[in-house]
Amino acid sequence: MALPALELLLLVLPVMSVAAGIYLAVALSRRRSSPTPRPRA
Amino acid sequence: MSDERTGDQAVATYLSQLERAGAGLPPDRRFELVQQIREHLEAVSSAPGATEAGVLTAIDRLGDPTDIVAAEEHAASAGTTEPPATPGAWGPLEVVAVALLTVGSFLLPVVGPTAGLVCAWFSRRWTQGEKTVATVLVAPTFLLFGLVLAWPFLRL
Repeated sequence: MALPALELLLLVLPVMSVAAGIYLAVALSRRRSSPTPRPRA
Repeated sequence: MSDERTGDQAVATYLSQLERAGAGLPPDRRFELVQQIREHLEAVSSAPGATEAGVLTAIDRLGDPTDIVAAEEHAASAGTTEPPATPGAWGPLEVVAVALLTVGSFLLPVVGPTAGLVCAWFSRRWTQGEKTVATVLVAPTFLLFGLVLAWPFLRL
């Protein structure tokens, strides 16, 4: 039972890890593409 | 073509004016400010269907470079600069963290994502909430992984 579960987790782990990586990348990129509003005179 | 050149020239002129106006700012802050504005204007000028008028409007909306620098100095003196958790630019640590979490999870199973999360937690550019979400995404799999590995021993 443990072996198929281990294989399954070895597939799931990269998927979840990539999701976390993409989430962090998007979070950082969104901030980067919206510069702080600059007040006009 | 000439539209593009005129737009580029306007951007270059604006950025050089901003650099001159920001001469009184700390060098790293001035660099960050100019970089931020440059990225914004590049995004506008490289957008699909961008026109010279659009670039000039974007420059106009930003306002006078001296006003931007004055606002920056005012924010710095009032202690209202962006918190260190959100400077909003990629650093080496962030690149390594994302690389380990994505590519690293295939090249170095378990070790890659773990190191990626550690790097993310050391970074000051993500908020606590963002780090928590990333950890919550990965951590349950780790726990299940440990449980499955320990399963034969638990059954004894």
